Amino acid sequence: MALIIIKKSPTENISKRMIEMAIEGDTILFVQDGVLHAIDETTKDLIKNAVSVFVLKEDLEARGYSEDMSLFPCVNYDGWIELIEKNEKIIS
Amino acid sequence: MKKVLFVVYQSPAGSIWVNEALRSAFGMYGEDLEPAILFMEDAVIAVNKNTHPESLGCLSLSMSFKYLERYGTPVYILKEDLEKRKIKEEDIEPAWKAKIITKEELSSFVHSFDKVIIF
Repeated sequence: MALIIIKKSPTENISKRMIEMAIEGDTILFVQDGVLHAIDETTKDLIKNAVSVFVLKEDLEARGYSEDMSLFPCVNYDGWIELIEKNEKIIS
Repeated sequence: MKKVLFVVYQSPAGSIWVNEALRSAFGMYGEDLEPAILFMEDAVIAVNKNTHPESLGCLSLSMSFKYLERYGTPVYILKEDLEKRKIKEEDIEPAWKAKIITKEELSSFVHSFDKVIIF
């Protein structure tokens, strides 16, 4: 299905709109300021069932947060590439 | 033929992204790519006939109309975002030939494209 790459912080409405675009079988990856969703409890309420969510570890740590503070599993750059290869479409 | 959707969410006045999306779409003519454009969030004000970014020194929008017409590039706008910004259907500039979609349809609409790029 689709990999949805979200790079804007939770304060920008487009992030919420992109999360809402996800359908069953999609994967959401938070990168750049989008990683701030990883520490925002309200994000969980937006995620539909059967939508996988990941956070880019390097961008999270660059912003002063550690992996264990994340509400969602982290991937590194290699993991990001795997996600791109695994999904037929990209929405970014 | 690959279908490409450019999604614009930022205002045409004060940001370049509406014009950049249009330019990117125009750059695809002659390739095996079929571009389409979706305006949502603040970008929907671009379709209002009273919107004139050129009055602020920004690029005008009307210069795009002849290309949209000639190459039949579809332009879509999100109903709820129009309503939220008090833009009625009669306010929409006819030259866009804009098709209105609802928030309900957005997810399946976006997934119907091969590539989606959000500006």
